[in-house]
Amino acid sequence: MILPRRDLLKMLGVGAGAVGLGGCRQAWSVPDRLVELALRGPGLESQVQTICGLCAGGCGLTVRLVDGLPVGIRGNPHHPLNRGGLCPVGLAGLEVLYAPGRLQGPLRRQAGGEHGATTWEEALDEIATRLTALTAAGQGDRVAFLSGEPSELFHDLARRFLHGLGSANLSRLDDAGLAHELTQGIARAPGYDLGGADLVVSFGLDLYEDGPTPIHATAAMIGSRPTEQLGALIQVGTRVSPSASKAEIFALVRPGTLGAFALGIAHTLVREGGYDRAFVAEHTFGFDDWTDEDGRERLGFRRLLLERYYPDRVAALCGCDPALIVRVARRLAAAAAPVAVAGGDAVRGTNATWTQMAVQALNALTGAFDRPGGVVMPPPIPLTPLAALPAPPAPSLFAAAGDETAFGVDPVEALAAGVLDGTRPVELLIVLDTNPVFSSPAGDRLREALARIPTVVALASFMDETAAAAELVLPTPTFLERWQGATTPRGVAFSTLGLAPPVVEPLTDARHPGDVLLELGRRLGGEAAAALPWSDYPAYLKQRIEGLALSGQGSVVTGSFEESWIQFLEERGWRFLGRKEIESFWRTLTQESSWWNPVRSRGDWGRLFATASGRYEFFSRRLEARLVELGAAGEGGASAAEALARGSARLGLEAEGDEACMPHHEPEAARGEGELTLLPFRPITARGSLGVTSPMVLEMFGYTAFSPWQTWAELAAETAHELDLGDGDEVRVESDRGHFAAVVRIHPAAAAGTVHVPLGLGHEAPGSLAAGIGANPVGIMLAARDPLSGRLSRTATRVRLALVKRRSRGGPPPRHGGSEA
Amino acid sequence: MTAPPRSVRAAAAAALALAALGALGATGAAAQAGSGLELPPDPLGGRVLFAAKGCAQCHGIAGRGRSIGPNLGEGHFSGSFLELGASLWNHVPGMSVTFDVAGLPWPELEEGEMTELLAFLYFIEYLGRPGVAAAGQEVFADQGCAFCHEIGAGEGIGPDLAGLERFASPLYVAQEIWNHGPRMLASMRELGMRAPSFAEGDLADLAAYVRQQAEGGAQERLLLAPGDPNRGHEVFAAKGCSKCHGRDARGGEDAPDLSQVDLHRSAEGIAATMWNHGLVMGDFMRERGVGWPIFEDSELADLIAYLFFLPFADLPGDPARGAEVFASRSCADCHAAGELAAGGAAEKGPRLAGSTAAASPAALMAAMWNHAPMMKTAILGEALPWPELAGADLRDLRAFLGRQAAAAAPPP
Repeated sequence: MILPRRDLLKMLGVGAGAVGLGGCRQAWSVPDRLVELALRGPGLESQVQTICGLCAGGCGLTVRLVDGLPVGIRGNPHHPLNRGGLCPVGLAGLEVLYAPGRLQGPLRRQAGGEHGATTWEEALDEIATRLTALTAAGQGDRVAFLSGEPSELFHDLARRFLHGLGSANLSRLDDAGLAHELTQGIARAPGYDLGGADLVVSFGLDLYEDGPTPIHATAAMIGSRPTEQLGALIQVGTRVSPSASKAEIFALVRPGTLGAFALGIAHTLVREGGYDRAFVAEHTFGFDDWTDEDGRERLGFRRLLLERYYPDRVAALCGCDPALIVRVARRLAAAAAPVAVAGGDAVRGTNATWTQMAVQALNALTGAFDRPGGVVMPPPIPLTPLAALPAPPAPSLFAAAGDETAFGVDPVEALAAGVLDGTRPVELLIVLDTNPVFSSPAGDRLREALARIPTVVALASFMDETAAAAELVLPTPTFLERWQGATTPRGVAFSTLGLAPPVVEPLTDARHPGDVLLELGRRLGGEAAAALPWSDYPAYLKQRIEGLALSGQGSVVTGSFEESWIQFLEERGWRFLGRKEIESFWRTLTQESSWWNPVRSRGDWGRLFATASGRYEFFSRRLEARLVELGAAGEGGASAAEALARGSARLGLEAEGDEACMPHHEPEAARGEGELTLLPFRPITARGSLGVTSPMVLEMFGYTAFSPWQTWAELAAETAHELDLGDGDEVRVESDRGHFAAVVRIHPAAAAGTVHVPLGLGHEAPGSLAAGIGANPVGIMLAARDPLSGRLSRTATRVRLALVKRRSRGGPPPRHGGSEA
Repeated sequence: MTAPPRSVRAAAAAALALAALGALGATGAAAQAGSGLELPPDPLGGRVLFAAKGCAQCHGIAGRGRSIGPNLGEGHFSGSFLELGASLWNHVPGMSVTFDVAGLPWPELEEGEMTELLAFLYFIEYLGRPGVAAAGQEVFADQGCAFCHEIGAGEGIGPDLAGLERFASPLYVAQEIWNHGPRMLASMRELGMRAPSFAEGDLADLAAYVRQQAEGGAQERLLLAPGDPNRGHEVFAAKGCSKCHGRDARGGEDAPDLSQVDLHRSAEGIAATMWNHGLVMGDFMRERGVGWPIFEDSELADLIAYLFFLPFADLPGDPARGAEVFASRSCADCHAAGELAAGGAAEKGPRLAGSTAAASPAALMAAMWNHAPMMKTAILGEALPWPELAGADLRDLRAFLGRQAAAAAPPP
């Protein structure tokens, strides 16, 4: 197809630094050479497959090019994750590529504190010199790396880079899977077969907008099924989200009580016999009362449920009707292939681990493990293993649990605390594609710590708040300009590998972070260079892919026909012929951009339940052991029971004894003074960290809440009435830490006593198109931790609302039928 | 002991082999050697063409996929290369209607693609069916396996079969049984037990049962790539099969032509047949100094893939009958077969004298297939019946065209 040149120019925005409607900021910036190409080129159209790198979802994309210039993005209909679907941020990917606010080249902080241009040579030399000095002084463990890159492939490379220096300080800022470790003994969260489930009960997870893979969830439950086979959704939460509005049942509960609601359902299932007795008998531990190795009688989950989580009590906790709990439980018991999932508020609170354990307990009671439409382990990706390197001498500063938590720490808080109190000094910090100064409740502390770290290197595409605090800012290519190697997103039931070459050469003086690490390794020489023997990042990827090519497992994504073939073969014990060489496989894979393996090994209980008992543990022996360890510290001669009680008390738990080791309701530890609980939520327009660099996404932000270009505060009508506030009123949201401005929106169904505020706005750094627009609710959050995982809560802060200005006459009318006070 | 005369031994061996192999009827196929067929090393590679050329728009495979056209791979689509080619040719009118309605272009196929596609369709039968654990339990009991073997309960007279649990493919299990054969048969003889004999599907069921019974579930699941028939040819020689059956399995003095045996069955079915065959052939092999072959890695799969493809090659055709086909199927209306045009034929289609269109079966099929749209316009446009062909017709036609081409070639 030949496009008229005029149309092409329209698509490009005509000219460098083009488009800019009167008074608006420049929206697109296309380099002159590309504009020239668009003006004079033959207008030849082509299409390439690639992977969206704007969040961890890993959706497949088809990019349309004219004369090699990307002019359009759509979802790849064959890709097993998104089946052609795409979120607004992905659709706006070109605006990220052509964003005028991109970093054009390396920057270095100058004497006056401002950043000025430098060169890659100078920057890499400077970093290499400092790393060499640190390793020579035996202080390699003073190097740390905060990575927002979700790929296991990149993670492996970064880990080798650090190990070569003698450091284990690598942290990925994704959610911990501690609940799965405690109940299933697995470090990685399992997959949820949403495509095979006939009922999904979602606790807090805004399934179609938030979570690791909302477009996959949409495709699996709606997009890829005939109308009569759509998956049903029951939503339990504190706010009617867009996903909840599509649910068959929506259960509105108080914040912090999602786990309690799950336990109320579990109670009903057990009491009414609506659970999978065979599964519970064969594959679980701790359901009935049991006797331990010392002959002590221990509490079983069944008795805990029946005695403590009857619907009336749970309803009182949750602020809902007891009949609703029974109704949901019966619906769950009647479903053929139900599955329960947790996310959003359920994984952000101080009781997040127990809440997730309670939700997962429902999956155990319904026998959802290892069943189609249930909880499964995606098959491993047979990547070429890498030779092991000696373990660094000091443990990771991100791994050690402190005195206040049982198993882990919040990585941002741990980094900041270690630097500020001098217990874990960091001399050189690399931050890649993540913005914790903006997104973490410990952001202020981190900013303070960054000022004390001699060398902070930010690898980023835009100048964000964290990069602004860095000494060196090195531009990375956007996803369309870089080699991508994306591994299975969290929570997906099958394995995927996205591997795609750049669609276009970088439009700026940017380098792939993998190539930056490899180049640093070469400059350092010695063990650091030996740990990274690859000439460039594609060479590294190619070696890792060799194992996959030779395995013959799974298939390159070419369409639905291939999908049925993988299953056809593996049911019969066959696989595709492994390649003798990887060239043809590499060629096909990089052309199609994705590989996947949907075939799981049934009955592979060892991978699902790697606990000491080899079963799903309602009663977590690992948690018990840790609580006993905490309780016994410095208390010689204490009995195991006493140590368990002391351990629980030491973490500040309300539950005592055996109950602490099982899913239970642990009240949210609220912080600060105020009549409302601040609950942030993430609209789909705030996915990833680059959405707010797109004018289209920014335009859509708040569109559905009738609050474009500003932060709004959602209140239940009764709460607004009590506070004498009306829809459209301007308020100040205040916590004991700070405040921000917002506009009140009366929400049709939000929990009383809560204020929901969207994440994503409130940037200060100049790289964001949204700089100076709206507010960042994270900035006023108070520190409160999950005592098990150590992660900072996002749902524990109490706030107050102060009226700033009544809605003016010309302001927006009340929405959703909300009333004005 | 005096050896019987060679002719008697040969006859006995042939009879034994044919009986043991379950010769359900000769296919009339020849060995691949000299047939002009180049088999693809990955017979599954044709699935990509199956999708890319639009076949999957109408046809499913083994009960999966679309059902506009007949579902393939359930015994509905079998035969030698040219027999499959004939089926392909005969479905041109029906297929073209669907393609026309959908507005799809005619999917042209090159010579190599034709082989790859038909080899793939032929190969589906090889892949067999999933094992059924309950049926495997019966096999385990009926064949006396339980007398010597435990599954996950330790060693008995024979080894604990839990060691087989990681093998997801029945051929792995078959290979283990085969390699274990001499020792097992000797033990069974001592115990006065009947040697096990397997039917089609038994090994798949047995493998499924062993996997299910093994305690704890497999941590590792070994899948097997379907065999490479070309490599299987090498295995056939290396393991001594060719000593009796001839280099290309066409039969030797003491053993039958394996291409005459119906081997178009599942891989585990052929493995079962081999095992049953080994029971009666063991002594004879010893006499010939052929040791019991031991298979490693994918050798058994490769060998079975080779055997499976033996009936795929076509016998040479009869040129005289081919001339009749040429005339009776209206080819001569458009094409001149020899130097002289017949009627106005040369004006409609290219002269076939000196053409390489019939240099190989795949070349013939590709040439015919790619000119089908023109044929369709010419024939169906005049409401004439489509010139359907049988596999034998194509063999004879190719022989005829080959003779014409040779006659037209300049003298050396």
